[in-house]
Amino acid sequence: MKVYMITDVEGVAGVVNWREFGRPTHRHYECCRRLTTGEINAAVDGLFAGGATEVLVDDAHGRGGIDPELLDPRALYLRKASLPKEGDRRMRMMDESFDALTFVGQHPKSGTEYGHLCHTGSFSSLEVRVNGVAVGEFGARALCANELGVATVFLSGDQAACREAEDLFPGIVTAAVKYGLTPGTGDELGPEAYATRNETAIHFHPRRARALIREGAQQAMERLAAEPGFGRIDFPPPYRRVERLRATDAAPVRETVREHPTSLIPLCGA
Amino acid sequence: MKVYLVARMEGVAGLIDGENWLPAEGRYHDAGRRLLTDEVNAAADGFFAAGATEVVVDDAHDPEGLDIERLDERCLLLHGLAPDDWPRRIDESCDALAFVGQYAKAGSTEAHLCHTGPQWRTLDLTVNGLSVGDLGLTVLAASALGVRTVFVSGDRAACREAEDLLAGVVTAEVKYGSQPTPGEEWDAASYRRLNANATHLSPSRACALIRERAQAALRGTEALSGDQGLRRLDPPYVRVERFRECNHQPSGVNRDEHPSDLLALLRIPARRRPDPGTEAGGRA
Repeated sequence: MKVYMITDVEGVAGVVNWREFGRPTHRHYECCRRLTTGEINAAVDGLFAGGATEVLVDDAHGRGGIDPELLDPRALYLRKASLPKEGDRRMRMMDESFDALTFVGQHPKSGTEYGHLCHTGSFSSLEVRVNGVAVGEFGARALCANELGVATVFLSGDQAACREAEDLFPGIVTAAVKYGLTPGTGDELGPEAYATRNETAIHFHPRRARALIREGAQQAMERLAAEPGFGRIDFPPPYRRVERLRATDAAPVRETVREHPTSLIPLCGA
Repeated sequence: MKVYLVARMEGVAGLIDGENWLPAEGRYHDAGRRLLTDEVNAAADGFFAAGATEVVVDDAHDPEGLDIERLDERCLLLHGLAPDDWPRRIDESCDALAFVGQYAKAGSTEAHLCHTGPQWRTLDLTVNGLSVGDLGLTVLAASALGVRTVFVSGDRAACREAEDLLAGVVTAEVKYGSQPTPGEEWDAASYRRLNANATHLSPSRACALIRERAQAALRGTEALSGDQGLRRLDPPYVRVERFRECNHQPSGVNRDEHPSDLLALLRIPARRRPDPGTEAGGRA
């Protein structure tokens, strides 16, 4: 069983904000990489215990969120320097040869109530909808995988990210490692104010988080083997993707629309 | 039993001054985080030994005081609350409130790094005439919800302050200051330096003391009755804050009131506080 893992940092326990953890110049960036890699290793261990034979770890955090020296040696490590150009979008490096897609360190989509560090792509995005369904980074990528016949089976992140995954892919196995405490959507805010809005949260200790993740990842693989159709949903074409960007001092809310008759991947395969 | 533990920083043993230890850019900030996390772990270990089932650690130091990689894994870490987000996340589900690394209020004598609020500007703050600092404000908020404060560790002056405020509270004193006057005549930057004299326990002795007292405190919680561990005030509520001259801005007084709701009063931002600027003062 071949597993693709998309990793991010904002949904990792102990990553308390973006402005001190998210970039190499930030003071807690190395701590961020340790915490993230620790959660990834727990997931990798659980996946292998559950029957995986190959795990490809795709470091999808903007500036990178993995310390390769700490990564489980059984995992393959993928770091793409930049995304392909418009018109040649791929589902990252995923293809039909994979059996399952998993997420570690995932944050909720922009505008999520009680989410921690929620955003979609950047803090500029207000909302993305595909065929009317609001999606974040999880949803866009899982739907692309779904189109390729790859099952989405596991996600770890804050509790709101787990709910988001369960809403779109009922039955997906999740591991919540922290709980956001900020009510309201913040839809009225510009990108800068929104970036620091959802920083209040209760975190599990990294070791407790890793124990939950390991257990969940193993369970996800076992269910994939046992339950036909697990991790798949029906989401037929044609596709229409609408993104609205937050208002800034220079511009009001802007909307972009992209459509495709048969495939989601050119619309949101990033 | 659920314990809500407020983690401060200035009252930790081995944490020596405001310039190098408190701000994120300070040379010893990471060392301070280690010392604080060890004291919090000592308290948590005592609480769990006494029957706690959940310890929520509220990192109340700006930008942060705790190192989650070093924290006792049984604890939950709460991070990101604004200073005026009252009553923090204390609610009726909490069986006990505790403080670690607590400092004394502004104007205390023989105190180490005493101050009130996020700056070194406040001379004194009262609620209904009761002089309180950051310890007292949190105690008042918790008391309004019926949550008892059972344990405070910090410097000697902070422990005295807790004992004056609360009947039945258990304290653990890990250092003591030696500055004999309130220092009202000093400007903010000088005031911060003025109170940097102290005699400290070694960190390992401080942690052993904290563990022992925290365990005893939680063991005694069920025996508390009446107003022990609580400090209740009657409405109407009035908050008066006097602050010192800073950055050529004059000294002054803020007065806010609320007819019935103490928490609503505490949430009124101190917006009339002059901007602290960067050169003098600095953040606590």
